[in-house]
Amino acid sequence: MRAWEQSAATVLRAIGLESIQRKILVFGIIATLVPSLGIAWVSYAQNKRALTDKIAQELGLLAAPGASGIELWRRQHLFDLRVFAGSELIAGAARTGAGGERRRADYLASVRSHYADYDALAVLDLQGRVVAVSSRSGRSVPLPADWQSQLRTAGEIVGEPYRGPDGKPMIVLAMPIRSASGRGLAIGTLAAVVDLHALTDDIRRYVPRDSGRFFVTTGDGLLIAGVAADSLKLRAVAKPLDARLTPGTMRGLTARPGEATEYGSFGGRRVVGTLEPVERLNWAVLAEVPSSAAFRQIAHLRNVTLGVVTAMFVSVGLLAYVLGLLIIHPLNRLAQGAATVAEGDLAVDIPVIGGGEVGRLTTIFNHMVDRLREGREALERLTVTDGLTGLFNRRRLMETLAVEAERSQRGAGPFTVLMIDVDHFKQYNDSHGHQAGDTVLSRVAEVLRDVIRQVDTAARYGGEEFLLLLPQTSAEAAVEVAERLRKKVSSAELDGERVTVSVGVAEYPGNGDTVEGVIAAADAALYRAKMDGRDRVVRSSVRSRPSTTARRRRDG
Amino acid sequence: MRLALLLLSLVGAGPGRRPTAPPPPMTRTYYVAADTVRWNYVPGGIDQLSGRPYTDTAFFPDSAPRPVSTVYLKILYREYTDATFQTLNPRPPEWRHLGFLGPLLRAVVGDTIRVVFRNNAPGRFSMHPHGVFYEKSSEGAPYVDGTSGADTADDGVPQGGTHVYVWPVPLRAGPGPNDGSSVLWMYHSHTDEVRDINSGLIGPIIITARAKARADGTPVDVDREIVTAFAQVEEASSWFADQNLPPFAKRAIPRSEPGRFDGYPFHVEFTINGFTHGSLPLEDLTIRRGQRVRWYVFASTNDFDFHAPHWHGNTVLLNGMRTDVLQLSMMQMVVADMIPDNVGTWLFHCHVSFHFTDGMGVRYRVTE
Repeated sequence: MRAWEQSAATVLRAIGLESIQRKILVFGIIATLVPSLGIAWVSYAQNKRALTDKIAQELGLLAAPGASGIELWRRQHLFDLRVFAGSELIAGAARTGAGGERRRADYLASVRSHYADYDALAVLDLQGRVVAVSSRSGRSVPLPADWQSQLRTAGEIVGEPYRGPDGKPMIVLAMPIRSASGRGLAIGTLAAVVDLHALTDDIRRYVPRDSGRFFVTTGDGLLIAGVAADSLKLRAVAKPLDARLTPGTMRGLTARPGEATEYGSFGGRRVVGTLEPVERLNWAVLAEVPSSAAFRQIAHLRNVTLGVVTAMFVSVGLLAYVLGLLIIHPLNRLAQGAATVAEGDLAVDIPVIGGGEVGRLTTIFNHMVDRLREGREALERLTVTDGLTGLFNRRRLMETLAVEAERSQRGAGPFTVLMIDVDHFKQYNDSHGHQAGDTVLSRVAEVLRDVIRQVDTAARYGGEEFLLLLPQTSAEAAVEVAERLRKKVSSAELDGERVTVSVGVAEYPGNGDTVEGVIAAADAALYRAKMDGRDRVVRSSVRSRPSTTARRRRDG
Repeated sequence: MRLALLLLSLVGAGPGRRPTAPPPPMTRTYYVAADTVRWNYVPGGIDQLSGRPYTDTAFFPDSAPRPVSTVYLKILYREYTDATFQTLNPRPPEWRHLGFLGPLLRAVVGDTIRVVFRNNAPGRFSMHPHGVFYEKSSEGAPYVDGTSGADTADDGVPQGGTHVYVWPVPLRAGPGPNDGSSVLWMYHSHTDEVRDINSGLIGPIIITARAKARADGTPVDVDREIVTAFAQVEEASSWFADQNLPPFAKRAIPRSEPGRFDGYPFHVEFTINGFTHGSLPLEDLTIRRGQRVRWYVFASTNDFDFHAPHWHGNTVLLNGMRTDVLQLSMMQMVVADMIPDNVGTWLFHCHVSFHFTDGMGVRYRVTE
């Protein structure tokens, strides 16, 4: 247990997390961020997947018919050629190769004028000689070298897209001309150059909403035609037969036809798109929308989530900080209190604010300090009092005398010292026993306590000697007190016997200008009282030497 | 038989033009096949009424117009010489005007028409006659009629299959009290009536009253018979619509030519015997002045196959009343007699507003 605590503490110290407040703060933030960011991430990922599926569905609803539309375009144009080739004028032209040349040329020209996407039309005879031609550019149809074998095997020619004379994308188509009568034998070939730019009109209907784009490309990603909401911009970035998707992009798209894929499209735009192959032409169509538009919803969701998380982060951080303060402040107060106690000052009482562990700890602390204080006071009491009589002991008396001498020197007036001794105590002790002697001493102490004022100090000076300190009291007044005391002691009876005391009175600074001096003066007066027959009060007659007094004052 | 006919014709050509003796009741057998045929609505490629080359165009709501051929794959009834169905029975010149109609089936009241029908076309087709008598095995129409087994073989003959339809010709199939010497009926495929007829499977039947029939069945009081069918052919309803219509028609329904008021797209052909824009060869509709010419006229089956055939140059008698315009509603059959007195090349067309401009017009010629 201690081992892991130790290592945990080491780690916490290493990352600067020793304080409770920091721990609470970090815990609060982690407790907020981890679940909320976790949930936000899961929700974001799920939403993105759902949205991607939806986009795939929407784009698929355009790409699939778009691909069919391109296939339809192929079939339509081959159908066109069959219709043109079915004209008796053309069939005649191919068959005879002579006569009515103008009519054939007129027919081809009329066809071109009606159907603008035909850039050139040519009739070839079975030998491959051009017998009639009509062309916008003046050029004939650039048939591939092996066109005759292609036509024999496939029954039609659909060439590769190429750049025409005016830069437009073009494609060559060709169909056999069959005789209208008889068995429909091939009697020639009708070849055409079709302007692929016209495809843009056909694919416009497949352009996705939300600034989407629709492209027709070759199987390897070369742009053939494209339509976008921002067509002008498109023309700048995506020139037919010029712009090309990277092989990697094209591979990724063709690997998953009909699915939504994110990729870099023509013009470097980041898009989500769907590819649908146009099988017969080895082309493909692409329906795409910008990623920004596609994921606008979840971007919004993400921003809202981040906003909420930030707000939670801030408020939880604030709350954790305040909670930390609520814990730390009492702890700090406790620490300060403990420090004060450690310095020896037990006058400490920490306010208990609220309950809980820290509140209880504070209460206990206060209680503990109280106990300490009580113990110390008891100890102090024991060190200044006399065990038998309960009066101050001699040490305390001397301290009080020193203080009183200071006070007197500061102008508080004279004080008087009464030295009291129980008469014949030794004989009493010997005849009645120590216990009885102790009782006498206790009795005298009681009387002392009775006769003195609150400000006075009574102490056991030693053996059967007592000393009274009467502050701000002259020797005359003190003698009265001493008389009252002597009478009270002698009037009391102890086991049928009378006890008397002798008292020596000395005044400070009149009889002695030092503590020792005044005590010696009182002692001397006591001695005289003993000498004079005991049970009496004698006032000191000693006069202190002013020179000595003056010198002492100077010394402080 | 040949000799008898020859004799009869000699008698018929004799003084007083007395009616020849009616032929004895007989069974007339026809070998008719449903064949897939490429039919050109404008043979020659020239609009013979305007004299200009004719081209057909499909217009679409949202794409450029596309060229359309006037040649369509159709399924037509064609007459063969025998049950081997190897040799087509060539149409005599006076019947070449029938165009894409099936062969004329002729009978005299009391005869029986027997049609050996071979279906060479993809799908099931039948021959359903009007007017003549038929039992369930010769009705040529599938519907819930309580029949089964052999009685349903006529309903739709599969490709390569053959069925013999037997249609007796009782009195009620011949001319009524107010009719002339002959009446017009027709036959058509009724397996999927709309598609079958629009594919081209329709032809005429002429029944002559026995007392007024020549030995060959023609009415004695008529010198020349002409059958014309006014048909608004809906090529989109043809069995070959997929092959015939431009592929773009799959994506968008073609609309009528911009600026035209008919509302019909290119694939509705306004035909007379399968010819549009006057392309019925003039020599096939050439008659002589003073000839007793009987025009048998009928309309086809599509909605709005209402027509108003109108002759320029000559008039006709219709049930004893004089007119030069007929009124036809769907599948209506009308007989009108003309004795042309006006030599020249004349228009014969439908008088319904745009039907004529859309091609429902041919020319007939009257010579001395």
